[in-house]
Amino acid sequence: MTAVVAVADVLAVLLLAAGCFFVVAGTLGLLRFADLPTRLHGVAKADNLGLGFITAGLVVHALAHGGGIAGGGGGAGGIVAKLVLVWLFALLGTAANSHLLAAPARPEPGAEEKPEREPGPGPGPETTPEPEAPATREAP
Amino acid sequence: MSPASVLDVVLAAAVLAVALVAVLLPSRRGAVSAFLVLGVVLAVLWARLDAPDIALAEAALGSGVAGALLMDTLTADPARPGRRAGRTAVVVGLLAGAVALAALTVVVRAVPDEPSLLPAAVAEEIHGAGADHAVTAVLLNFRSLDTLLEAAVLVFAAAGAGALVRTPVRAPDPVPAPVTALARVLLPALVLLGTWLLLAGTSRPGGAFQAGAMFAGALVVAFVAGARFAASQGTAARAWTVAGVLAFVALAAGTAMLGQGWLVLDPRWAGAAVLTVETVLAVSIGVGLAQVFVANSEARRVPS
Repeated sequence: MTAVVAVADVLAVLLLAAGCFFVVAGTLGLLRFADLPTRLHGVAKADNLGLGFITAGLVVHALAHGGGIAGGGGGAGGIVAKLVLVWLFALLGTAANSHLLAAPARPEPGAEEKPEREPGPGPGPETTPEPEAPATREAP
Repeated sequence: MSPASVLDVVLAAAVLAVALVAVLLPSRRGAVSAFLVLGVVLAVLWARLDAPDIALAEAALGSGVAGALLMDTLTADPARPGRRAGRTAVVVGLLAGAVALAALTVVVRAVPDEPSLLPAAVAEEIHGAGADHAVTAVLLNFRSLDTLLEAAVLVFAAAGAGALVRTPVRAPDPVPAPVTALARVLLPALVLLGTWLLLAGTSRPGGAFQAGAMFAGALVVAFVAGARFAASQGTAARAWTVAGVLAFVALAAGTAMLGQGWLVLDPRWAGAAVLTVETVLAVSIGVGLAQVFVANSEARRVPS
């Protein structure tokens, strides 16, 4: 029994570490990529995957320890259901947010080439949603 | 130092750092983002302090509702530049912050180390309080006058925000398809979550304020998705906004005239009274908070 719990703990830590890696990678993409679509692509995909790994890690933990971390009633089953719901709602939110943020920057169907990836006089202030200062300061 | 206390120190330092960033950043976007991050970090800190009720309220109100208000204001006028604080303002602000921090430290250090007598007193009285959860019993019974006045503050805030709206409001902009799709999923989920928080509040963390924030979120989502009923600044919304205070005052008057005194609940019907007032209060808080958002948004829709 304890061996099973130990294996589950190792698995949970591995899953959580993988989740953290993908969230950091997504944030790095948000800070470093050139224009709005690639930034959204990076942060949306990597963060959803990262949150999925973190959810999986917490599910393993809850199953191994009977929902110990969050306490309350419901046991492991309730905790697992709530964790999965959190992930599903985050997926929905990210999809809708990214769609809305990207819509103004999307080229018209009749437009010829891809727009130049100019950060300055691009199609408006939407292309650089984050202040540039932190990104440039952290650059080596 | 144990890993847990390292985590606590990192959390506390993160709260101070994010708060400083929120105040000092000249960019409005950056400042608002930092403020929202502050709400999340504060919620985690409250959870670490074993105060899940406050953590829930901070996440729902400080981050959720305030976040919606700030983002709405920010995106309405994105081109407007932020204002860089002058040197005097920064110095005065830092000094005031330092004084407040020092005063808080003195106060916290002055709290005696031995456990307070209040939890024991609450545990002794909770059987007839009408709620098994100590926080709910304190908010809705032992110190219900405080809660009544808090609800009254929200009524004034909603009335003040509503006063900014000029009566003919331009028709809303067309709603993008993803917003409608998301609203269809979120609305029932938010109403369900709010109801659960309300009912759970009698026996575990949750209660009128957290549930009210969920109802406000549902109304804001409905308003953003273009639902007619959420846009009304009409009589129904105003009536619901004051309903919480009115229910509270009615209970107080009833207990004063027929019972043992102002807001003294008889253990025999305390449970029913607490749940009734909480339900009205939750809807009232929800409508009131949503009114602030709707008024803020509609005040900009001046007919051209």
